[in-house]
Amino acid sequence: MNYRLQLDRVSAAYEGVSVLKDISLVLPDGVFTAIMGANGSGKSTLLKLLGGAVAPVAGKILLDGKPVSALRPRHLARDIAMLPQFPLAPDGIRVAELVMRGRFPHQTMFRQWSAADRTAVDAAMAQAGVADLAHRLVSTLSGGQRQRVWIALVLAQDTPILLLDEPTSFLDIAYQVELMALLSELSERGRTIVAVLHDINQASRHASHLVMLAGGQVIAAGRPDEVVRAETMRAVFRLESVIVPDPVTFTPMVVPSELRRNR
Amino acid sequence: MTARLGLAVALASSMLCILALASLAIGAKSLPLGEVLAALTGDASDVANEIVAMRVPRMLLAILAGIGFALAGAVMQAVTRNVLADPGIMGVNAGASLAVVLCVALTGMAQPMTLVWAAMGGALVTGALVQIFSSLGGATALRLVLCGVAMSAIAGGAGWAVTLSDPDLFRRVLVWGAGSLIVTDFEPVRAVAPFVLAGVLLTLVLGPRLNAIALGNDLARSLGVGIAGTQMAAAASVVVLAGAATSATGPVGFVGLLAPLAARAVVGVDQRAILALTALLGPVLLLSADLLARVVLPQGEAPLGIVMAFAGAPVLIALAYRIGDL
Ligand SMILES: Nc1ncnc2c1ncn2[C@@H]1O[C@H](COP(=O)(O)OP(=O)(O)O)[C@@H](O)[C@H]1O
Ligand SMILES: [Mg+2]
Repeated sequence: MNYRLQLDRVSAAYEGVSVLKDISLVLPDGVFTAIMGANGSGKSTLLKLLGGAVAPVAGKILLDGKPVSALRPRHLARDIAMLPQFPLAPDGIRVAELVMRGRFPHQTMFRQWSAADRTAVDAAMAQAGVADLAHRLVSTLSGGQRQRVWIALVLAQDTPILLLDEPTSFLDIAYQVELMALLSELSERGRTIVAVLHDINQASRHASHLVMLAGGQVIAAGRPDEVVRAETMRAVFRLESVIVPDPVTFTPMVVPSELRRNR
Repeated sequence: MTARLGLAVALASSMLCILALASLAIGAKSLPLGEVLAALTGDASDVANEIVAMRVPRMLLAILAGIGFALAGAVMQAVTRNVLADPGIMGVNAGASLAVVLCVALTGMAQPMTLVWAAMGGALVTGALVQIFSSLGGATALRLVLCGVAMSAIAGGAGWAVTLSDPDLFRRVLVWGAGSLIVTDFEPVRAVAPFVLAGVLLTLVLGPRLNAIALGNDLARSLGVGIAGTQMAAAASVVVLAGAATSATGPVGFVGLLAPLAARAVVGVDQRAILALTALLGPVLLLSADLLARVVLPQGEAPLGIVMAFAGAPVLIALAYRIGDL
């Protein structure tokens, strides 16, 4: 298994409160990895560590064996794109203008806009299914349309590694399926995808590598059939469940066996 | 979009040229335009030559200060993602002006270059204090503005207290302290120009980064923009631009608010376009206000800062109505 991106005994904390403790993990190349865990378990933090947006209190995040903190931000941005959970859309911006901003790391002071930028932006908008929205104001879009515009922006950044924080939130079920299919297609074409996801069954279907976080640790990491087990569900979510094969893909599917519960 | 920017830049540039010529023509003794043009090439009557020669530095200083105040406002608004950020509202101009007053009080009559450095020092200190106070307990847009307004009042009050304590000082800085452009030599122009130029160059580099910052700090960082570095560079450009401008004209508010506001309304969301147009609209505003200041009173001149406040306050009120929550 080849990998470029790796966490080596990484701990993270906010204002002294520990969130992740001593995590070691590799993110396999060209693979769609899903990060899962309960609310507040540190999924976003893990993604931000990988993207260099949060500095670890201990350990190293390595890209090609080099600490990401030692890379120039612009160089890192040509390898890793990250879509945060809550990006901001400037008031009055149009879809194409927003997607174009994904090209920043490929531009210089004297070459602000090139044919390559144009091609990348058009391809990204087509892939994310927002080409026909190009001239719309972002503020007039539905939540799902907006989410796809953000996806287009990080696709336009055209990086081999893509980090996405809950990209399926706000999408209806049909668009969720479409986005998951897009992400697995991108990984099949060689891109490394790391996405925080909530729907375990969906992740099992589309992602080939799952990482389960709980208590600041990686409880399980591996293929869906290795990770999605009743014991893992109990450990991560304190949920009793039975695991059955998905009737369509035969990947593991979680069926909660409790109808009511006290946390 | 770029066609729109081109048109806007062309229009603003023509306005700037017209106002620049008008500011050479209009005053206590007004000249016909033909004579102004003749004087610029040096072949008008001696009186006209002399009047125009006296008005040229004032015109240049108005343009430089206009660029300084306006770009400082545009950069502050972009980096804080807050349309109410402005060197006047945020106390930067008042701090710069307090430092100038102190400098004059302590050293007697200071050289323009000394005043520029003093003003930038004052801008830096108040800007940093506002930043620190507003980040105690988590910076919000509202907290930033409130701290700025408070700092502005404190620095402004302190400036007047120092001024009023010394009749001699009062006489010398009164006119300047209310905002004015009464200069007749090139000394202040020479002192201010390099700093405004430096500030302009800095904002040129900042433009694309500010476009990324507009998407939130996390996304900006992922696009390869160093947040801390960009904020430092933005702060430096604000200090240099607002400091140099204040040393030239005294604290003139609202330019930093109005010029970027108008630019945004015309060219939309691209910070590079906003900055370019702002750099033209700032001088347009300042030259207009200066012209108004020359003609609004039956005799003598109205203080520039006060003219600008009269024009700017209604816009600020309208803006406050439009943006319900900061
Ligand atoms: N900027 C921050 N400052 C302080 N605490 C934070 C910050 N971001 C996240 N946290 C805390 O860290 C923990 C993990 O957060 P996060 O990584 O966002 O979890 P998840 O994405 O799994 O819901 C939570 O308890 C959260 O409150
Ligand atoms: Mg999260």
